[in-house]
Amino acid sequence: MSPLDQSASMLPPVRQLPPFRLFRPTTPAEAVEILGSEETPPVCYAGGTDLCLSVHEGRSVPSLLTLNTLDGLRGAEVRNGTLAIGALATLDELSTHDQVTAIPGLAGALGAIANVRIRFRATIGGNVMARRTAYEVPILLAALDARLIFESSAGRRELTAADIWTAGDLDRSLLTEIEIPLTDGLALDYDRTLRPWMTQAAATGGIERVAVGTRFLRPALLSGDPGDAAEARFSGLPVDFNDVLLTRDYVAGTGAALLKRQRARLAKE
Amino acid sequence: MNESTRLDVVGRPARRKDAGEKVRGKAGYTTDISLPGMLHAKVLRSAIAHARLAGIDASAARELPGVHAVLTRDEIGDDIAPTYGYFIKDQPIVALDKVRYEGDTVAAVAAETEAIADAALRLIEVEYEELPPVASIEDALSDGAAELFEEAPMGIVPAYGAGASAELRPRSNVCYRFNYETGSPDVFETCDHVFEDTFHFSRMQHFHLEPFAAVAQWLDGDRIQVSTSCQNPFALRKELGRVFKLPENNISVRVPFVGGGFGSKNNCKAEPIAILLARMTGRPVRFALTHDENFLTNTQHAAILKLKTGVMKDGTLVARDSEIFLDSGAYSDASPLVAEKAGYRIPGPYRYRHIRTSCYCVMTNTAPAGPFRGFGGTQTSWACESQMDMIAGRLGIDPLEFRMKNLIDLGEPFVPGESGMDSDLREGLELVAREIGYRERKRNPLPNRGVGLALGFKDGGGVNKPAQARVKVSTFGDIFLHCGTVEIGQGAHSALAAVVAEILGAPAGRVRYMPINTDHTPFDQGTNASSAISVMGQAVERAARSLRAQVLDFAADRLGAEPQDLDLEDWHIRKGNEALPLAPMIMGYFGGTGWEFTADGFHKAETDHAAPLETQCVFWELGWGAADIEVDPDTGLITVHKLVVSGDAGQAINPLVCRGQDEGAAVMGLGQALFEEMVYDGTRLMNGDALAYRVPMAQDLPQEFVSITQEQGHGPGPFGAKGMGEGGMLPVAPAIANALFDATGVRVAALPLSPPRVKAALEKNS
Amino acid sequence: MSDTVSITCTVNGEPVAAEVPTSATLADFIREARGLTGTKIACGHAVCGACTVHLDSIPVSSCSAYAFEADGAEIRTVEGLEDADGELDPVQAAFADLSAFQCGYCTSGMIMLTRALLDRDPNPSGETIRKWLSSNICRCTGYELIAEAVAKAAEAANAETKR
Repeated sequence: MSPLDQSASMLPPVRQLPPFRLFRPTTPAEAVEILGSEETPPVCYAGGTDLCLSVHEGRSVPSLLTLNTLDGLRGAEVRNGTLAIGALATLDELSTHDQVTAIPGLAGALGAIANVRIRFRATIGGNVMARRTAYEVPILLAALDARLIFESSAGRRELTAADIWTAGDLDRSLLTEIEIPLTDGLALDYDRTLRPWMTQAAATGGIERVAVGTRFLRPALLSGDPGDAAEARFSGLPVDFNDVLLTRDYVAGTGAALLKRQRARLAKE
Repeated sequence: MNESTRLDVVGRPARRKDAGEKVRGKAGYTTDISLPGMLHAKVLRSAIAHARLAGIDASAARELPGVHAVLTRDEIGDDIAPTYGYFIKDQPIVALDKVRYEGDTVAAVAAETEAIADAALRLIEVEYEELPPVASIEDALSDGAAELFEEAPMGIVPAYGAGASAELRPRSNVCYRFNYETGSPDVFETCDHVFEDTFHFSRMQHFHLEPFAAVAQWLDGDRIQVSTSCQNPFALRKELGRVFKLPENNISVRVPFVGGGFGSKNNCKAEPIAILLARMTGRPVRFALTHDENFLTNTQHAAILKLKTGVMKDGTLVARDSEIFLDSGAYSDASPLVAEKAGYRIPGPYRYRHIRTSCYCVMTNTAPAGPFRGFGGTQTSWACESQMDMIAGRLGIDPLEFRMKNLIDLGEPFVPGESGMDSDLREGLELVAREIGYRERKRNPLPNRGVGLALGFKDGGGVNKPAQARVKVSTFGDIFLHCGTVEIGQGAHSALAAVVAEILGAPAGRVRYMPINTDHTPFDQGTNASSAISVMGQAVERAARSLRAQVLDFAADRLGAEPQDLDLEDWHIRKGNEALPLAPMIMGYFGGTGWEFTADGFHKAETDHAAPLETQCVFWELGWGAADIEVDPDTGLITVHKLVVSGDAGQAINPLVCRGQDEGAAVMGLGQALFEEMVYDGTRLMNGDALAYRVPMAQDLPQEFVSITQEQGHGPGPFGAKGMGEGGMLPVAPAIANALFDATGVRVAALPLSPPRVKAALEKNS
Repeated sequence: MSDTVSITCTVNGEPVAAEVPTSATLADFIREARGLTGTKIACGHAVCGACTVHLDSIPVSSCSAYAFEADGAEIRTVEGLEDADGELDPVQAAFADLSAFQCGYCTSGMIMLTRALLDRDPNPSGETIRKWLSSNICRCTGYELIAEAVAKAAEAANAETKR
């Protein structure tokens, strides 16, 4: 019998926060300046769809920096062989954006995540920065080999989509842009039929990248030669890719079956 | 007189009485109440499943500006009884000696705002001494399992009738066992086959959108006034009287509109803490849980059901022996009552020569389980209807024909001493079988597609349930309906008002359903068990008929006529071709201030020791279901192409509302069948919030979804009505599992039928 | 920098100037400061949609937006749908006529969601209706009657326009 301290007490979900300091910068540079200079970096706020959940879970918010007053960081454009997406672009905006069609399948995938009401508000950057396994943008971005561009007073920093699960020191950085290299024949297929157990993004264009997401596990990224057997793609699935809802065997077997369908759909594109 | 030929109000798809308020956003709920000086409560919960409470230090919390009171076990004096419950008083207002699940209430704070209350909770220091956790039914019953209660809490066993019995704490970690037996077990010897199968049932949360909430204040120091989101205000008043040691006429319970309950909002939930903090502070206190906390407050019962069924080779059912284990969680709540019903309903609506059943309430270190739409019937319909198809398959008989052969006839008692079946079960089964194209599909099966049937069954209307109603009519014909049925969404206020309007010959708009306040609302046992129309409806009908007779007698006296020659029409007396307004007649006799006619009505099933549950069942609630599904063998995903559900309203008071009840129940059943469940990792709930816990959305509806409201006309309620609202949930999961078997030859005996579970079963079979 | 912010906005067409705590949610502002309790808070984190209101004509979860965002915005709540004579909006009327509600706790949000849909697409297909309705949770009805009410509201509004 071990005596435990008060950390063994569960605080109720917080509905109402105490008042916080509010920053309303108008330019990304100003936002970066505030994030760098405040003693405790403010919590960034955009679409709000995740922040309130994390507040419920006990996240404290001594100060808040709203990004909704910023000029820019919206929209998407093809430049220098990449699709560059502003971190504040909403899922709804991107699902109908003409530049996003540079990657077949991407607009449709972004327009299928969450629901109409959430897509109006939720930003692509927020979906990534929430770092929640149940969220889906990181799965898509992993399959697309996307780069996350952060600005901070120390300068520019670039991460892969998978890095966000492990990267430290991001609380003084502002995610400004997401860049996806437009390799030849790049196209995406996102299969959500097995949500919430698992979803799977498959991208072609040179090597094949398959990202598998589940409710409780960080997405697994599996890549290789598109000519490989679908089953072979899953041989690299981590041995401990199990949670309370599914087993590694299920994910590997089912993922291979889904991948065959995804390849067939991508071939038709 | 055949009244159904001349109904003016009943049976029409009219706007509900609450339509205007609800679509305008003007309907008032407990969560909308704000009183001058009102404080807000929040509670600290245990993050440990099982521990002894070694010490609590709340001194820092008390010092925080804006905090008015902190409630811990140290504030519980001899002036109150510190625990509550239904049959067993085992749940403390705040933890006394132990905590028993992750989420158990340890302390509470009342403060100026919720934010301050929350900050105060962070200052409370608690010392726990951890004990071994008991995570599941199997854990709880294993040798050497830790005991949740070292000493038996106070409890009672109610009187049971023929063949039924129960005992408290028959063994360690079992708080109650219900037993029922009829006929001789010797008939098992005569059976051609005896089949034994085990079924697992998963646990859902009610997911009502309005959280548990109460606003309490003390008047004159010794009177409680509490508004609450509650399904049974009179039972709550009685329990509060016991806890706070007050006479019931010092406790006023008010119930505004309730934002969904599905069973959870019975008995003490938010009320004791709100009341106690209000007494400590001398201020009104609002305690509204968050939606996430609902998951930690009340849930459905997970279950293991073991059936042993004896049958002849021609498909005649002979005997059913069953053992049911309900996961009751950490406190008994309504578990003994659910056990009673699960144990009683496990035979299903079929004819046997012998039935024996035992149902155990097993305590585990998880959130307390309580009443949930279906009330044990969902668990038993899952097991019983799955096994029906399994047995039919083993005997080489079609599952539809197997059921048809064994179903109880209209009018036949369910078991000896019981009331007769008040629906034609075969008619309903034939209806859904035809709608799903059952026979054609059996002749011409499609690959990976299958059809399945099921018949959900429960006794409805509660046990030994009294209800009382009062109808008043003012001088100008304005009708007041006073009764305690809570409007929780089911449309009961409109339905009961329609019954009154029909009987008094008035437009439905003349009837107002008066606000519920136990100080002057007539007694009712509670809004549960689909009892509003079947039980309260009879009380309301009697009150309205009595009032009508009074009015006609009065008019007959004034007019020098015989009452049977008069009729009542929109507050006019119809006498031959004349329509005479009542108001002048009333003022002419009673004076210009006028008068109110008042009449009471009462209903209770007769106490009857020959009936196993001491009264005969008021009505039988059925849910016929049929599913046409396709399974993807590569993923295990089930797609429901068509779902058919049907209930028997007897006589629909409002067909749209009946339809909504069946469809809502069926979609809840669909969630249970396919994906919805509380996921525990040991004693830790993994998906206790709206994002992680998935309930059905519009996108989850089957491609075709057909609900058929039967009106067979045999119900005990007004105009032949029966209760609604639970039946539609019962057949969905077994119908889908039976369709899966039809499609693949693979039986899945556990819920939900999730892709990983289905695929594993398919692979095991191949 | 203070703990409150000044906002000016319109609520159901009425100009409002207020000083709100920085941490007040839009739902807090609507319910507590404006007394408009038709907007319900259920799940508390943008999942269920019971708290849906229009912020500059976009349907948003007011439990998960902050009041400061309302500065300069037009807010519309369920109370703002009926006209000056108390005549119900076609969406409200259709929900009432088809009993497309039960407990009523999701109803304001469902109605505001539907209003936003019909403002964008006056003739939504059945598929579009189902897609939009999949934003919000109703635990009571099973959604079928709600979907029928949305279709009926669209028809009624179009009939009105033609006349």
